[in-house]
Amino acid sequence: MATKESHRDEKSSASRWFSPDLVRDEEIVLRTIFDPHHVESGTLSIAAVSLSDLRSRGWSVDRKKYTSLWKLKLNQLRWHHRKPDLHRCYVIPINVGTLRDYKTDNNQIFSIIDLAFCLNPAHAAILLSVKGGDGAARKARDTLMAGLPAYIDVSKAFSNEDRWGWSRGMFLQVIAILRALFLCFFYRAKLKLTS
Amino acid sequence: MKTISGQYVDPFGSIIPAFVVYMPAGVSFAGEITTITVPVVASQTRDYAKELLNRVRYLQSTYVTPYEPAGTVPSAQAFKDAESFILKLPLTRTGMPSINVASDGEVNFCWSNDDTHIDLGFFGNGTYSYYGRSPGKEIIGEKVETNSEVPDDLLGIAISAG
Repeated sequence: MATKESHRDEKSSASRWFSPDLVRDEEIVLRTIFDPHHVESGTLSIAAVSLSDLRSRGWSVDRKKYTSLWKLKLNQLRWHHRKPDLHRCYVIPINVGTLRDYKTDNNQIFSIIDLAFCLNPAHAAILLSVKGGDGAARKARDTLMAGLPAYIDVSKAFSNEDRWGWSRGMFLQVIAILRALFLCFFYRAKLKLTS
Repeated sequence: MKTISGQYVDPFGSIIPAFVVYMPAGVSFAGEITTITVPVVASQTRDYAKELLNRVRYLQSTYVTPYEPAGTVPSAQAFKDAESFILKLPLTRTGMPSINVASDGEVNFCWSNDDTHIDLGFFGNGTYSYYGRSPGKEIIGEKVETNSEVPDDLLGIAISAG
């Protein structure tokens, strides 16, 4: 059975209908840690980054400029109902530019693509720039783990200036949807005229 | 304060403190101790395999439902493969790996110190893969049969990490 090829191109959006814009180098993305076992020794376990995510699904992160503290806390709270042993909400703040600078044989190792959903304009994903086997993905995971900063409590990741992040993202998402609709009608009308 | 203490003499030679009674000053001990039940306080050597097998069984009982949205739990075979791998390791030389579960259903083993690192995992498909590095050396293994011997290159780095 043919499987859908993962979107790895950083210069085009993986979610044109909902994307506020492409992920820029100067951005910070936040990875939420849901599994308390991954931080039980005080340091982040490598199992916190799954190979399938790195290879194809995309390791989910939130773009800090398009999310807010309450939004991440709400996500954690929803999940807390299913997993009551989730007591704290930790995030890893990752600098996009630093991650994009990791290279092997002059080729970029990781791609950070925007993967916005409806009502979640901040969603993005980190995945390998080039498809590879499990062993290669483990090597990339080692590189990623070595460069990741320490996890912090989610409340420390945001300042007062970040409180409108989600609203800003939603505003741009609405514009993206309207633009996509307009282009849809425009090309349809153009097709009708030419035929 | 008056102190009465006793010792448990192990038939194989070691001496383990068995009991200590602390008595406030002015209180005299009038009773007579005839029999003492000695609890096993601590084992003298660590049973690495037992600790790791307990860890795997703990994870198996914990990961009944996934911890992450869109996550999957490891298959029973993945845990079984991890257990049989533990029994093949010369643990007194390799030391204890940390064992965790990833959101894609991998049972992951990790040895890590300042300059040595091994990342190895089971998905329950009859094979495992690994990546290891030590100063000047890097190894990658793909689709290694779970019922085969542990590769020498992997053991070499695991022993230097342990």
